[in-house]
Amino acid sequence: MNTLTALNLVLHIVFGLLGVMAIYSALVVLMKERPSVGFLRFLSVSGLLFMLLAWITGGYYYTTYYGSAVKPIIKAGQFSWAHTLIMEAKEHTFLLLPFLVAVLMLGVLLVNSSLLNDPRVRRPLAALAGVAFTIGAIIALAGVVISGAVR
Amino acid sequence: MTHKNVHTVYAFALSASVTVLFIAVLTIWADLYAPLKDWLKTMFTHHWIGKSVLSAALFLILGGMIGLMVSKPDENKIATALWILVGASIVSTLAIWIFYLIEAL
Repeated sequence: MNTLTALNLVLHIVFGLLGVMAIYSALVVLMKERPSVGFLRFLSVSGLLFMLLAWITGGYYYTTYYGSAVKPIIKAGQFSWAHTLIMEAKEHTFLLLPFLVAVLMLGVLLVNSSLLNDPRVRRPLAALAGVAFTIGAIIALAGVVISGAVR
Repeated sequence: MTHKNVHTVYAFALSASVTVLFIAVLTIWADLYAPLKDWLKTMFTHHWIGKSVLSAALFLILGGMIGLMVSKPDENKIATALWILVGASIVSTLAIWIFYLIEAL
């Protein structure tokens, strides 16, 4: 692995984790009866930004390095399911995240403060943040499994 | 809330619901039907890039179209659209993981 690819992989992990942290923080704020709107807007914009950066860096690593250098090693080893199940599911469920976080951001940015205090709007937004966080956390754990399988 | 803002949130929540279901269908279909995966590779250099580009295009185009067609959705409709997105996301995630679990067995 050359330096650029290694840096790209590190950035993918960092951006992904920061994105998941931002979404989790947004979930916690949305669970309050009177959420801090300014902080919520900052978190939702950050969450989308980090997810988009994780998408680009992860996509570059996956399409230029993983398939030719990592996948054959995992598939030839005793943990081949780490690719056939974990990586395949990870790379495709990740595709859902940017859209979920984009809608979360639109909902937080475009509704006014009083509506964010309205449970009719706040609860589904919190549920959306909860689903996005759960998917993000599963993807992060999947990355740990894949890294372990290649060693 | 202005009608324009209502339109945008409602339209893109519905658009995202269709998009996440589209991702699951395209993923499973391309894995079962090799010519589709080959077409994605040919058109976009990699099947994953193809899925990324097509899903982003669907999200933006469909969201824009729904925004133009829908008139004055209220807060209840927005809430319904967001709940639909939550449900669609859970269904898509489970479909993808269960599919690859079956494939791996």
